Amino acid sequence: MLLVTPEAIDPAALERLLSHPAAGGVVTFSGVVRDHNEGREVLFLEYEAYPEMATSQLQDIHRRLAERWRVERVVMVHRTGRLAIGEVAVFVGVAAAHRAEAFDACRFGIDTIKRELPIWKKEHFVGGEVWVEGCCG
Amino acid sequence: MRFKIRLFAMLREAQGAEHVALDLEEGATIGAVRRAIAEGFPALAVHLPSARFSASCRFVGDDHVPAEGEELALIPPVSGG
Repeated sequence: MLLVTPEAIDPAALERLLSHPAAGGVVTFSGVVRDHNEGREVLFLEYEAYPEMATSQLQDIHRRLAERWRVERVVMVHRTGRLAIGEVAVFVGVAAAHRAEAFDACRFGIDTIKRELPIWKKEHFVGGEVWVEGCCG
Repeated sequence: MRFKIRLFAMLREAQGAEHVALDLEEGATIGAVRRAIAEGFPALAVHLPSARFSASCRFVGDDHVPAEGEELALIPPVSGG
């Protein structure tokens, strides 16, 4: 499953999608909204996507991941909209025969999402708001 | 040819619009689009050095020649996750 969605992400439900009889290793990563950033007290985050491109970029990242590692199942989901502290913003899960490729492919998935997925977060903190200048312009 | 360039996040807010439009000669490259934005849209110009362009939902370089009607967007540094 590859998805950009305004709906809440449920990591336990997504992990069930990774079940596969040939998969001996399942690695998942959940990116969670935390209550502080660069010394600021964060109130909530707002994620804006270029939805059509984010969907096609997820497909492209999946294609590259599957070319590089032999994986049985991949799930990558990114949330949009307003997220409270503790909510899951992004989920990446990989099921593979062995743990090494599951770890490596999961790491590749989240790292590439952070570099290439056209999604932006605005941090609302005590005293103001700012677009977070992330990565790799 | 007329090009419409979609804007997101800090660029959308800086310009106060969800897109800008440009008239350029046929065969114009993304580099020409970049220069035209730098000259015509001061609110966006400051963000241009760190922004990438997309065409038809793929990142493209300055040598890309967009087709008429192709969807272009200016992509500021992403910050998902």
